[in-house]
Amino acid sequence: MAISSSDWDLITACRAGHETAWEELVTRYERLPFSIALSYGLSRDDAADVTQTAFLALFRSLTGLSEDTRLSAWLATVAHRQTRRILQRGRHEHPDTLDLIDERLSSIGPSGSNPMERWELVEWVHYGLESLSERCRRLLRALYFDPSEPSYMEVADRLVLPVGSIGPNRARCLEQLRQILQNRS
Amino acid sequence: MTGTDPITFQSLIDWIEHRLTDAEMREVEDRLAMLSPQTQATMDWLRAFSEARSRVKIEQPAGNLHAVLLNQFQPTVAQRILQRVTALLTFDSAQQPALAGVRSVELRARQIVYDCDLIEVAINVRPSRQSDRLDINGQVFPHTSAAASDLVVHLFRGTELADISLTNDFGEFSFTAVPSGSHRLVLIAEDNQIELEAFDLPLSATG
Repeated sequence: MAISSSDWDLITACRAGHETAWEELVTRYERLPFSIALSYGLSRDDAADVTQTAFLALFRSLTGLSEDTRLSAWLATVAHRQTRRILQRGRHEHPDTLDLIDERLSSIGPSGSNPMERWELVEWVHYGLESLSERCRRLLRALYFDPSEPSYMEVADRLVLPVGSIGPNRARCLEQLRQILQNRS
Repeated sequence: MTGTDPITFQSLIDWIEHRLTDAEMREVEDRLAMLSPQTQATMDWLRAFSEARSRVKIEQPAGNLHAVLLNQFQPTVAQRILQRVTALLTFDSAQQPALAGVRSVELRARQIVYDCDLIEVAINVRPSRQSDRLDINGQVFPHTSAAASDLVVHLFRGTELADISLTNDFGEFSFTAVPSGSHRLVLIAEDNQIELEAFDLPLSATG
């Protein structure tokens, strides 16, 4: 499958049994459910469980999806629900951490009750990043979403860029991101 | 940005991210009032992005998870054609006559039951505690030895996919804060796509 294949192209190819299409879907979207779970404070192990469940649900639903299904939102919804389920389970299994879990549960809220829940924010940002050029995507991920919070020097080193170009490139990539996300909404 | 704006895009970002010296910060702040509406909108977006990225994580899962996800794909299963089955409404408490002497406030929950050869689905609809909408709690009871867990439940509002849930080990699923309107549930279970007849949700769960 070409890098630029649409989600629907990939879904159709998966239905025809093409493993490469599934691999591309996984590569494109594996960060999304994982990041939603992490954003609500789940451990990386629990986030991995959420991700597995989301993709299992996707695999089972491949035949039932229609061309107008927004796969990004579909996966985000499943991940959000799975995250909530794990948090609720934790409430029963770890009553000593009730305050922390209650805080996370209240932040997850019922879908539709808030214009932009945290899981929707993850989906929003993920969509924007995935729509960028590879170069911009790598730069913005490194600058804004790397948990090690690398310095400009470290980012420049990692991406093999002159350190003086990081600021201007960041501005150009953020402008691209802004346009992508504003066009989407 | 327009050519007349006194602040460059890059300076705006640096200002929002607090990457400027105190003197440079003051210089930008002095010029904020002179921004064009277009640049003001850009600044609002940058602030929204800055807020968003502080609230969320975007991270790559470990490589072994990637391999696990790839292994979930089974070509022969992916090529299967789902058999469409319709589950029919067999009970709706909103269509039952009210019991004499029972106050309506005690009838706030509405029960709906669907049935087909494969499963029975029992649904409870209640006013949501957190909004003026409705909560839907359901449970799947297979008629066969098939598992009730991990079924994918799609909630359609009209023709639009409104929400997705997965059944737990007991076959239970839920949707919260559902608005009124005509709704339809579609369950994906193994080789079957089970479609429940549409039901209307008025604001009052009693129907």
